[in-house]
Amino acid sequence: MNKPENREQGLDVSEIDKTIHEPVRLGIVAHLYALEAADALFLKNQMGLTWGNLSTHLTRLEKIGYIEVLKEFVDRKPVTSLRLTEKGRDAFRNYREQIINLFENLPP
Amino acid sequence: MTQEIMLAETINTKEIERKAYLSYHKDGVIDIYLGFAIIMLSFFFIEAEFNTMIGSMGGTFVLFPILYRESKKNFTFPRLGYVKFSEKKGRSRNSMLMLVGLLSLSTLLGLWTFLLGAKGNFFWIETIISQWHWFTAFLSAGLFLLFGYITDINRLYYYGFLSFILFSVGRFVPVKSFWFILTLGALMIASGLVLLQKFVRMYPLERN
Repeated sequence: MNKPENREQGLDVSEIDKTIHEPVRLGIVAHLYALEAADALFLKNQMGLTWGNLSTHLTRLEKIGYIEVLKEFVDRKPVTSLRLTEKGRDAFRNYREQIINLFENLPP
Repeated sequence: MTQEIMLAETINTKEIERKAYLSYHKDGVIDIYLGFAIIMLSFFFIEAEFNTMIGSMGGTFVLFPILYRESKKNFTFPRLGYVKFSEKKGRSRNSMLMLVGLLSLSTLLGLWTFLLGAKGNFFWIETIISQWHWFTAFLSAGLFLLFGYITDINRLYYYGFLSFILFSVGRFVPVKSFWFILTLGALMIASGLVLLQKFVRMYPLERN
């Protein structure tokens, strides 16, 4: 199937946000979308990642402005928590809609 | 697994929240504390001084939530990491609904008891006393099922089933009730310790 045909059926994959589309980053963004905040250790444990891998993807997401790193105190202990920004939240919503449309419009 | 299924699973945010929530109860701490509380409850059934029993039960209900919170803070969070759940999500709403339902049911039962008492009808109390094994079996199973439903921790259903079996067996076996309650508490502690050991292996303390 070529590109014009894709466009006609609402299957323009070139419009998909490639930052989020990468599986690890999608996992991180989905976790931060579902949860209000989490630290890197929690994400690492939930997703079964290595520190190096997680760090690379977090840096990329932070640079593009999808996540923010906050230093806060929880029970008088310092915690570095990660949150999804409004931009990141919108990007994830758009991505989800695009993916759902993409698969819904696929011929059986 | 196809790419589509993997994507669908990754973006199932409700499942992500559920998995994150349940991972906090993989440590078995709740089982250990509930087991201890049940063992403390068993002291009601041995010959102890009334004030000692009330003191130990009061101590249990006041101290255990504090100790539980401290255990989570000092043991679970450093291993699993920090997470803050959204307050807008359905889980808290369900818990609130369950709490309101439970309070309404208690109020209705209290009112019914009061009305029967006012009419001088104490037949239901006599029935409970004579069939107390069955009453305890159903009550404990019901409480575990309710608690399991609210918290979404499936193993509480098994404890409910176990308590029902234990108290039902107590109806036919000439052993003091104390031992059945003690057994239930001990089994819960043992199960909690096994989970705790697995949790420690799965999530060792990070050095940095």
